[in-house]
Amino acid sequence: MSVMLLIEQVLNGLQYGVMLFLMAAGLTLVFGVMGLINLAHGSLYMVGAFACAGVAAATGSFWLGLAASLAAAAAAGALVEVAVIRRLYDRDHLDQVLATFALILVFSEGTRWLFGSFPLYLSVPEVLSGAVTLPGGIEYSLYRLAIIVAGFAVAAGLFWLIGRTRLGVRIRAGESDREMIAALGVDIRKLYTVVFALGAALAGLAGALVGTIQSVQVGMGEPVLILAFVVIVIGGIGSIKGALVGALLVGMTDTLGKVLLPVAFGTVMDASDATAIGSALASMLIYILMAGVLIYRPQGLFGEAH
Amino acid sequence: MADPILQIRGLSKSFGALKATDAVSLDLVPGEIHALIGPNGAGKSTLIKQIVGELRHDAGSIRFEGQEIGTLDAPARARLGLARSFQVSSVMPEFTVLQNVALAVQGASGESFRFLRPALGDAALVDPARFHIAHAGLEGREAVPAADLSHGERRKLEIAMALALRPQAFLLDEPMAGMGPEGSRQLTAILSDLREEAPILLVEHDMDAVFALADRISVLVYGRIIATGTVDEIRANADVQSAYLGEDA
Amino acid sequence: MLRESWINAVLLAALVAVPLWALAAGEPFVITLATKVAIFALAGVGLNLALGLGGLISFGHAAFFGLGGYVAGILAWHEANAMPVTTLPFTIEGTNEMLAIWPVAMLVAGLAAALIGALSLRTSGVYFIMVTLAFAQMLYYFAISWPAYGGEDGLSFYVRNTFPGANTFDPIQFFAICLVLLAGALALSWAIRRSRFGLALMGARQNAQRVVSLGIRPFGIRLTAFVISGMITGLAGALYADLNRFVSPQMLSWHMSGEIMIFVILGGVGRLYGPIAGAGLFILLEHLLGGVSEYWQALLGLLLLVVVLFARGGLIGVLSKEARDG
Repeated sequence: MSVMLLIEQVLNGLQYGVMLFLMAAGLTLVFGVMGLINLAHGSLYMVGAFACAGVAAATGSFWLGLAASLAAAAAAGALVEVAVIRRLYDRDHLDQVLATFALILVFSEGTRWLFGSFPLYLSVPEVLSGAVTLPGGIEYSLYRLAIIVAGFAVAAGLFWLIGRTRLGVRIRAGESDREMIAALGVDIRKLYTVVFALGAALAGLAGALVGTIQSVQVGMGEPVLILAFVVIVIGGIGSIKGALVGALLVGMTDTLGKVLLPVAFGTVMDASDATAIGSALASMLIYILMAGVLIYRPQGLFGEAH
Repeated sequence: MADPILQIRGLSKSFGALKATDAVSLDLVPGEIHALIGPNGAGKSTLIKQIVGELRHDAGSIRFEGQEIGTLDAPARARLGLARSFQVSSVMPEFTVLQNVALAVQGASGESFRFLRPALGDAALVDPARFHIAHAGLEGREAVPAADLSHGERRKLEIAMALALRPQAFLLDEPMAGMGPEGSRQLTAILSDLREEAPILLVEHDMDAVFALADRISVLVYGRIIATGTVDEIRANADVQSAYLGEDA
Repeated sequence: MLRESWINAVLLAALVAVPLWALAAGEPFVITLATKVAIFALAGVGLNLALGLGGLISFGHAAFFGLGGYVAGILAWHEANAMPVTTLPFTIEGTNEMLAIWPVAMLVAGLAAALIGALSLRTSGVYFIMVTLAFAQMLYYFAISWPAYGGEDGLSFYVRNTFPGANTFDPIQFFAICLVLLAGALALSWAIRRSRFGLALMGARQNAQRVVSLGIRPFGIRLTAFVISGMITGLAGALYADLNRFVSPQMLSWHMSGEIMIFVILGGVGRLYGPIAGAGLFILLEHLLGGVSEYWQALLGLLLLVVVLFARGGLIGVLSKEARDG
């Protein structure tokens, strides 16, 4: 394995991690502020991808599609929050799990009804197609590089939003004390809707960005959702920093594991066995990472001990 | 004085820069009610949590019946006979009174891994449970779910559960909290009898109850014990008056 | 209480009567549906032990369901191909005897539950949900990427496994086998909820801190409950594989975990017969709504929303107008 290939895979891992961060950030924010576990977060990711694919196909513009994905996911998030989620804040986790699981069924079947069961494809916008040559002569996909940059920009924006703005102050206050923030005269219902819609928009953005790399289809959200859960367990719930570190760890581990493990096994056994065993083990690697964190620090790397 | 059942020496616990417990030493001897008083935030609850094993102390020793228990976890300390009640009524709300106390008997007997025989058909659980329920003054209420009990009855249920642990010492955290005058009087009488079963370390804000019940009083301020003595000694103590009683009364 | 036990009796009677009627009417498909209900109910009875009694919200019980299924499938496949499962460290032959398959399925599911439980129970609340979900997903991906037993396509084993003295190909006889196992699991969970162990388990759900102060460690109690729960669900998985004569990663998927949870919830959490009511309702809906629209799962989702938001005692709760019992 050449160093060039390795660097390329590191970049792929970064790109994957950044995607996971966009998913996990919304989830962890919603949990931190409202105490809600939202299984339907993957559906919002799917809504974003479909909105982008649909609008891009109709208008021919990826950028309009991207805007549509943000708008559609945020709108779907706000709608769901007002109609259903709002009733769940005071319920136990079991009710939250069931109701949001029910939402997945409704979203998935609704999307299937609208768009059919066949996957849609999104193409990379003209400006971002092709490859760039990085220092050291590495050729890398411009689009994936753009995702990495966009992801880090969003992360920086989020840290700024939470740390430096009025909305952020309210969000942080809402995390620590609901009654306090209500006493300060903040409309807590509106705040919750805004936070939920913000998380939804991030998920929708992730869906749209990934839609050009993978196909856009019903059921695409849940595997990513579960990975985002792994990210949150590793990073610690409610922590944006934890989500970022966890996402990058998971993205790197998964990407590099899938490349390196078969190679590593290949040094001690024949190639086809090594590929089979290596890739099967690689698929388990991030969960083993999660198990390690659970043993070492059950509250997550950046979570607070209870 | 008889050998202490519970002997605490130099117990310390910090949360960051805050010394919640600062070199606390305290004895509980057979037959006594030892009241622990102090202003809010003095560290009474933190001290109780360290004694029962819910919090780990940073330094010092906790000896129970001559044995160092500082390294045992909370269930192990409970099984040695360190019975604890909670500041806020803490029972199993869906269980009946009988189920609650039967579970306490079961905890003391140490055998929870029996899967087939009905627990409430087991005389080894039910007979002691009924006895302790009667002792705590809840006879006839065995089949009532704990959630449906009045506040005073729930306090009595806690006493019954503490009794069921066949304790060598009771740690009672504000048992009078939220009780009306009638309830407080009844409970004062029950606690007064209880010291015959085992000595009581009593954390309490109700000064009438403390002065009526306590054989000795220790005063905790900012994590430190500033005085220990009889009721009269504590009343007369100038430090205590300035640090605590003075601002209160 | 009285009314609920009537409903329970009716449920059980219906589960026996419907396939008997189908036998007389010559409707083998209905018998197969009833068998599916019995198997799903069995999986639900397993989950209900952890979820209903212990308050452990496992969103990963598909792991045990699928493992049970794969044990049945793999043993049968090796028997059919006359190949030992392994020769190291000693030879394990395949088998098509249900009586041999069931204990292995339960053992494997139980071991997995012990491992997953020991890790997951280091956390609580919402973490527990996410962690159980994630570990189940790990097995799902493993099954997909491990090519030896069909990978993504799953594994077929054409001939249903055998049971001494019975013809397992006869739908009603296979149904009877599943029904007896369901009854056994119900009896076991009935005994457990009344036992000392059940008292400690339910106590830990209601007030873990108090249980600790009584000298009982919740971890061991919960882990044991989780393992028994996983074993029962694993047994259900082995039967499900036999029903279809096919196993696939689908049995390990998060969607399956959600469905097992639905069986428990639709019927009523913590209720002994809840999983029968829930599984029965699920299969009924699948066939009623499935006839109306191919998007029936959306309707199922809406129904589930209504149950969660407005009818928290589940079907039995609505019928008996009672809050759940301890």
